[in-house]
Amino acid sequence: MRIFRSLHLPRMARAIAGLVLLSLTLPLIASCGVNSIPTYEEQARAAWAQVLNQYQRRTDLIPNLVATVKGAANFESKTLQAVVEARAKVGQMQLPADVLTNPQAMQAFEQNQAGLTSALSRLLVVSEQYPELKANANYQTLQAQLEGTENRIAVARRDYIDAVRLYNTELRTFPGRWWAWLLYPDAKEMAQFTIDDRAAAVPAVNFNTP
Amino acid sequence: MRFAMAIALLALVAPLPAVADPAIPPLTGRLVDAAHVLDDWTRNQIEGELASFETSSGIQLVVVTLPDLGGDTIEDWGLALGRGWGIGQKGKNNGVLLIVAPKDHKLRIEVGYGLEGEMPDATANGIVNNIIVPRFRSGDIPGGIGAGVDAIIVGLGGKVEGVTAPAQTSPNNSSVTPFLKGFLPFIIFIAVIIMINRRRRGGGRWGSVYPYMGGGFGRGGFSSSSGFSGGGGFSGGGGSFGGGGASGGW
Repeated sequence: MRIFRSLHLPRMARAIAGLVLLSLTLPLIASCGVNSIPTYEEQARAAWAQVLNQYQRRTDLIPNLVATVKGAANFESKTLQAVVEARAKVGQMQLPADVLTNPQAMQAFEQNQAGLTSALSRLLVVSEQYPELKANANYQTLQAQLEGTENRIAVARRDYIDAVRLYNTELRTFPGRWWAWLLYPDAKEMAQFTIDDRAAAVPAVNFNTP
Repeated sequence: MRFAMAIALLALVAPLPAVADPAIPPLTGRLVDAAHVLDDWTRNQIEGELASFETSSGIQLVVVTLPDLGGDTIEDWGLALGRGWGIGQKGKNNGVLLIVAPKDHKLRIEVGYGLEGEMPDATANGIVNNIIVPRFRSGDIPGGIGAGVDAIIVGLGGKVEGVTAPAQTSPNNSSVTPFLKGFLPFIIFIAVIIMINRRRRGGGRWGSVYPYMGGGFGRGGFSSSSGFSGGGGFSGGGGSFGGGGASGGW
């Protein structure tokens, strides 16, 4: 503003000049990425919400599944117990508010969910040995829902990985780095998934040992 | 220290698996028979059904046959095709794909975000395993695809007229029997869908599809009134997918 004062312009003219200057520079600033960081951050948070949403959907399906499977004559109790325990573990978990920027918390979350994933898929594999269960309409519906949910989880995780990759890259590279230093000093890189969900899901089942 | 941390971060991010993105075939119409398993008659029949279903409901239903899954899962293909082509209307995400890989003996119904309520996984699973797979098992790929398309359309609240068999025109037979014969599969589909659905939740779904029937969507361009020809000018509306649907094999 010192420039304008030195020009001895009237107050009004100065204000107008300032506004014009601002309106000219604002789009310039916006187009060179000043908004990228908050935009990408919101996208990553939305993707994370979707991940939580789909995991929750799975958790909600389990009581029904357990009840149905229990109805089948002498279903292997060890497998069932593992699912119940894994679900309890997931249910007890308290997610800290900063889970997205806290790799340890993220890993704990993932470990618990992966435990449930493998317990569940083991249950589905073992169920193949029970013809009456497989013929049960209720079980068929639950199985379809569970498979669909696992697939949705995989998609949500993939979308989260992509969103975080975009956000973290923006924070690390020019010009996002400068904008972060200048305007968003609180912006922190988000934690990525480290466990491959599908790899963790492959159950080892041996039907020969009781 | 900073430098070391930067290296560590890079090392953390680098080995992440690349998003599986199979080389998707071009979207040549509502029916993409890349595996060449359908005859012209069936192809025209199905394309006509898909086109008139879209005209009446706004839902984009696309059928794909794939020559080869190329090592990816059919779920990966479903997502890549659905999002890559943008099937369904933008904002409504009301697209559905029926994907068949004859060589790999796999199939999938991929349901767009916006239709997961109308076509829940269990319904899609019922269509896959009770309607399509038995026909595929007996070697009838066109019949399975045709019946599957009918079932999906009926399941989403659409109407299916004059059903499948090529020899349906028999003018010398004026009795009621051919009429019934022609409609029997249709009636069975409806019954199956209703049964599957009753089991899941207490009915009431037929009302809920009516909002989709009103038409009046802004997107023109692909729902030309003819629609029976080889899908000229058909393109996805920008819909997205979240992994809903069901897969099966035979």
